Amino acid sequence: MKNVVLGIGGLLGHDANAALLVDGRLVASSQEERFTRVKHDGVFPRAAAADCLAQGRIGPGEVSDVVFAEKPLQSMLFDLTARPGGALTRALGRVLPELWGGYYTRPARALFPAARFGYAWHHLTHVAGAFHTSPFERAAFLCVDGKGEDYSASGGVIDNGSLQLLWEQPYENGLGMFYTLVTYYLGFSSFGSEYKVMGLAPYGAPRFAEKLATLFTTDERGGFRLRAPLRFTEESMIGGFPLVAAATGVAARGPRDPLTEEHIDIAASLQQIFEDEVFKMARFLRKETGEANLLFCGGCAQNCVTAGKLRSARVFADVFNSPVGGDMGSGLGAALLRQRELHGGRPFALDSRGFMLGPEPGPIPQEAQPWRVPYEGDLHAFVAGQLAAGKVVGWVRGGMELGARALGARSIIADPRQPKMQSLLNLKVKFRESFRPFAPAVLAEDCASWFEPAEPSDFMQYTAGLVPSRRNPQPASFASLRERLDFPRCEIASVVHVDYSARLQTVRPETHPDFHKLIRAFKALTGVPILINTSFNVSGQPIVRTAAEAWECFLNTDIDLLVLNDQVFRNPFQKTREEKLSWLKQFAKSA
Amino acid sequence: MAKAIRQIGLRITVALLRLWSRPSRAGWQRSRRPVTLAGR
Repeated sequence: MKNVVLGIGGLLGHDANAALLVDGRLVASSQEERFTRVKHDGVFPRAAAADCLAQGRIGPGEVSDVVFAEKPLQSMLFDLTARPGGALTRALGRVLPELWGGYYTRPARALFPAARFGYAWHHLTHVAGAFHTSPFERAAFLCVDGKGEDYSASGGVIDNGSLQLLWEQPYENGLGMFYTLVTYYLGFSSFGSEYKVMGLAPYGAPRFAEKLATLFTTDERGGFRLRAPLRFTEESMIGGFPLVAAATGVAARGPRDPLTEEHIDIAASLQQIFEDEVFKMARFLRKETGEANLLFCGGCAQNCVTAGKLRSARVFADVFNSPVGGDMGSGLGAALLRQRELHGGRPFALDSRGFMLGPEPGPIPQEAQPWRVPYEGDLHAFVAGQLAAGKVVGWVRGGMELGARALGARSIIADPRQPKMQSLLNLKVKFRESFRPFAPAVLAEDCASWFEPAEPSDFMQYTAGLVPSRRNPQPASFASLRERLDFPRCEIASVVHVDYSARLQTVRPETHPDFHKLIRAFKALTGVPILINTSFNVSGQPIVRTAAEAWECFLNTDIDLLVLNDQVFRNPFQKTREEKLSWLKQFAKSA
Repeated sequence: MAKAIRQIGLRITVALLRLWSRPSRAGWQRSRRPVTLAGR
């Protein structure tokens, strides 16, 4: 009989997902938003679970274990009592009726009648997901996020045989909450917008750091707590705006208000505080555990700037920031925890498809056929030629990526040498703020001649700097953000931020053979082993999953060519700007 | 009926927990959480 473990994440109300392990092998992992088309959707991941089962050719009755990525009763009791859990709440978690806190249990019970149910501590799902996708045999871990059941940060040690949770920071008024509060205050009020503030920070100076520091207490170990107790609700965040405004002397920014220099400097200050606190936490755990390696995981570890700096600083000999260390991988982590219980933590091998574990694009829409572009010879060489000629290409091939980043299966790609490409992509393709940077996908073997440190970042988890010899000196000051953005700071300015940093994707043939081949073809034509790689979506839209979704997005943007598996289509450009904006409105809520 | 019983039970539990426990202290604390999938 097969051992079938289904992990389900998203009980916290966002980023619902599912992952399937069959006899210890990762068969599939999917995110619910890719099916419901609601970004960060936090409903019961019915479609994601069904997709996992379909990919594994497993019937619901064959599922032997279902593991949830949170202990819902512990979370509920914390929310109701505003007290951290203890021995008593844990005892209650064993004896209280299932439905008291098991609001996820009911649909799962109906779907998987034969399964045994388990509930994982939320942070430990991040830790397991990070460890079993890392190169480490043993490591300390630092997990930081907005909220686990009743804690915001945790630290310990994990290896193939044991998992020791040694330290935790209780309550939810932690570092993640603080970052979210200031993100909302800066006018980025849709869920999961913290990365926009991270992208804005390099434009500013951290002159508000001391003022923001009056909002919290901390210590030399990164023992962080907001002075005012807040909740992870929009109302609570808005209620916190006067506190930030009083501390900084700057009024909260509305979502449509222009970004002022003060807002940008507040973003820089927030990012600096965040980095300082993470470094203090990491140093504390280095001293406490004596471990050489660190897993940096949880929602806050999605801050790839901090992850990159942490790795370079050598607080630990090596740092791994998992592409599935955030909530979108929590179902995978939950399933892995059961796997560890069943098989004594035996090392787990990632499927040869890497993280391309999602569904295939499916049939190409009939209406696309008149726009098909014939080409002779090799697809990759043809597309590389189009890219070198300045075309923007939608690239949809094979199983889709797990996680927040498009890694070359559902990507929009372009030539990073084109001077206006960043503005074009932001304003006419992605329909988002013009300051937002793009990521370079670089051949791993050529990374060292362009970026430093030239260490692996196969899943866009780290930032690195452009090597000094490729930097053009910038003036000491600029008249405007626009002028600073447009300054030709290097040959590939579209993917290098104003501080010469870049969120790298190193592409190697073992993990991304198809994408590697494309960049190699581009290098053969141009000498540059780098492409712009951004997710195939518009602002607020989940990454496209199917060929039909890609076609619809293609029609409503200024992408020139669309590759659907082995076929290429040109954009009819039949939609008016008004029609495009009208189509975009459906995603405005989560933009 | 079952819903009402659940509500009353929940309120009593919450009240007792608030009486029993105290607000947490800030900063890193030694974790006493058992690492297990058992318990909700």
